[in-house]
Amino acid sequence: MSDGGSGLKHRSELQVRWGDQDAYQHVNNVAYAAYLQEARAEMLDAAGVRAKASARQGTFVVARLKVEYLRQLTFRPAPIAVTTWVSAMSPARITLRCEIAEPVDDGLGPYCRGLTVLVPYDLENDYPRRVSEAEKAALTHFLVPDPQ
Amino acid sequence: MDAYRHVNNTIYFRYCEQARTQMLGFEGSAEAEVRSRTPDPEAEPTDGHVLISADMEYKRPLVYRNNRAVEVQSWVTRIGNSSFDLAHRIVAPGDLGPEARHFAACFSTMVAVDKAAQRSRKLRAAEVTMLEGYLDPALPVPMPGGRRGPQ
Repeated sequence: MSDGGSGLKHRSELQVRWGDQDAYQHVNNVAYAAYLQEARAEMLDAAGVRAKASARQGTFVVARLKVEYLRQLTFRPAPIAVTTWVSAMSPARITLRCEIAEPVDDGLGPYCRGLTVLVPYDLENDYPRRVSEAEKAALTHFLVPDPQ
Repeated sequence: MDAYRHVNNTIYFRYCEQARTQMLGFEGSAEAEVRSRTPDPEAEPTDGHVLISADMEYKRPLVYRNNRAVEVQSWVTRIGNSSFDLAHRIVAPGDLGPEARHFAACFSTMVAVDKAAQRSRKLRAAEVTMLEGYLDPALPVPMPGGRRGPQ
């Protein structure tokens, strides 16, 4: 593709847990943030950006998380589908977009849309770092730039 | 706290939710106790508020410290017909001024709903009055991502 994007989005299937519901019998807003985090970790792993849990260098931190809640999600035994992709990359920040939807499109649109900004950060030195060439190459695998 | 020894990003959503429920006087909160003494005759048991958008900007990592609490400062930034915007800042206890060195700031939108009909509804006059009490023009409205950032 001319813009360097792969056009490929990462897809995770996640299970809604009973305890994710709140008093409204909806999946609580905080659980969505956890689903997006889970899917993000899977996407980074699938792309080959592997930071061990114990890593203090080569890590990313979340600088921003925006969640738009579009449809009520209720507890169900069937999994939900979380799609995650890289929408923009610069040396100091990676922007991800994500959607939670039915695994099989029901025509009603996604349950939520999310935007995550990751900042490459060395925990060891407590300082922002740059995206490495290897990370850039790996993340390009799921790069789908926003339409201009 | 997560493996990076930071309070995990999702937990900030919980902190803001907790602050919001107290402020809006959800069932069981201290604010609801106060309001139960002057009940709103127009209120229906099916009235509720749902979160439709939350945008959190993480400024500084929150690390676990013994006996150290955080405070969540919450205020109203817009009141519409059936929706309103809230701002939150997560700060060290007492660090509440416009220049506070916050750990995170959140901009969120809520909609008044009829829980039974599963529809939005107009804000009641008493709700508008309650929300007006939380307007604070002195505080900077959080704008995660900046004016030109991705939305």
